[in-house]
Amino acid sequence: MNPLPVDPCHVDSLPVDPRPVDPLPAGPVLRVLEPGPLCLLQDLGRRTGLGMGLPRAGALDRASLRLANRLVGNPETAAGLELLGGGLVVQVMADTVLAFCGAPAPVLVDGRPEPSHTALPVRAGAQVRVGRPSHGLRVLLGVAGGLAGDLLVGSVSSSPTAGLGRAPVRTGDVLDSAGLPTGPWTATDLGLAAAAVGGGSDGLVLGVFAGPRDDWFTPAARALFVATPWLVSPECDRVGMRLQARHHPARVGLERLVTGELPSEAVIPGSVQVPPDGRPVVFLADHPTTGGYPVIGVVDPADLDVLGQVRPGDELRFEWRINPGLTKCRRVLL
Amino acid sequence: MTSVPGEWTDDPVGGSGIRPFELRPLGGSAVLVDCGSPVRRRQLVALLEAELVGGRLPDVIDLVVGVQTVAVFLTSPVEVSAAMAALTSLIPRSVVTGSTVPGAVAGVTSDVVVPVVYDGDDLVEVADLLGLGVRDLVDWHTSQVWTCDLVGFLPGFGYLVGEHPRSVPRRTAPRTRIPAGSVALAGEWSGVYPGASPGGWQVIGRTALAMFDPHRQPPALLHAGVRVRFVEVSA
Repeated sequence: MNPLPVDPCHVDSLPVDPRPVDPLPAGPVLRVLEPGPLCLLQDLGRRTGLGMGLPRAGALDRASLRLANRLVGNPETAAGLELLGGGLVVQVMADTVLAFCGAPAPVLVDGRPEPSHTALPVRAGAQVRVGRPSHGLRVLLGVAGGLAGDLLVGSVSSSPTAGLGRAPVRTGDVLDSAGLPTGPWTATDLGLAAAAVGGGSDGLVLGVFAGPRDDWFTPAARALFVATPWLVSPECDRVGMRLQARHHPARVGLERLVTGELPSEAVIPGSVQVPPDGRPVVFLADHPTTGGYPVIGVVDPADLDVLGQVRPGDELRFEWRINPGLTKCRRVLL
Repeated sequence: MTSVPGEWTDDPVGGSGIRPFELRPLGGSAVLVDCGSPVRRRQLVALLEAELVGGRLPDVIDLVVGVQTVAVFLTSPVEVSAAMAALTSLIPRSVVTGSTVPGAVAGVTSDVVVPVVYDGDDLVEVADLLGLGVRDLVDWHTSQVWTCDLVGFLPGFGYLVGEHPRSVPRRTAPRTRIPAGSVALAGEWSGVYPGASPGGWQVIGRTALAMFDPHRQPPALLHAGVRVRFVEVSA
């Protein structure tokens, strides 16, 4: 990953808060006055259920949700809100603690500026307003006790394109606390995606493992894949992100060695799939569980959070990584 | 790069027409087993399902079945190499060579019975396309065991293959909305829409059975290998 610039996200040395924290009651905690561009209930997603066609789902910047949860004393797996482009305005309905992490955005509590990336105790009746992030794309809100939602195979997360989980949060919605036991907030050593994309994304480098079908591409295409700078196109959502070559976007494509159709097979978050037009699509948390185009590379899970914070027009490069768990890439049995 | 020089074939599809049976890493915590053909893939799914039901694959948390592949998802990222070795030793030569009799491991999963009202918008047209009467079409659909070949498209949508396949073309213009519970045909597949969705399959009937229910355990009735019977009920 890139060196982290000085940023409020950089919270390596937070002390442990010694205060014992009383459990917060389950029940209404936030009334939504304005949801912003897209406000979704998210946790860390699910580990299983892929076999029945469920996406992994969950926050696109998981490290920031984990941090927000730690700051308010929750288990890292508690549900919070993912705010695309900030813009949320809520009325607090019960005394609680909030933390805004991910993309750094201005936070106003009853008109008073408060910092992001810290625990903010707020009183019932307070109005909390989140502005637009200065950089990055998604703000992750942690709420003490976690937010309540219907569990579907281990996750309450929203996948709007698949129609799974809670619908996008709307004006007038009331969000309930899950009433999870909270502890003291803890120091953290999380690498944060929003910090990595801070101050413009020039030089943003993502590690990729060789994809299961990288041998379907010419050696030149595999070299081009890691040599060329890619631009994030406006065609991106929680399902995937289309990239275009920075130079000669109309002409540069990733040439195939094997030109036949690929029978549909499993893909995972971070899979870089290349359709016939040669412009790659990187799958994100809500991707379908199978895909019909060859996957040239798979983004290192450690670098996936960054993709939740890049904006259309940002530039990124790929760099081959060697999977340390693998001594031999491919076994041919017949 | 993780490739071992000389191990890569120039043409993985194979000029001989026989695709290789091989294992490839899928990211850091999954192995993609490419069986090279749907027949060998079905045998492998049946084998792995039996092993999972028997509790003999503790490191495996999920299987995602493709047309010719099975992705084996593992509990931990560091075990991919070992898992590839273990899978290699697990897969019998008979599956690799395709000499196992299909269905030899059938019956490890429970069957699903789908009650259907056969009054779909495309019922008459599909019967015409197949040169059958409507009664014959319904009898054909209800008189055989269907097997869930793979799951995809929507959560809980199973691609079902029958014992007596017939090929049905997709609609030339897809419908913008097919209601949940629609029982439909396309190619040699049959399927049941778990939720409302656009779709190009030919709708022959409907079921009140929820193929996918987030409040049920498990939410989806179908996964690869499950056997399905359709039974006719009146509206």
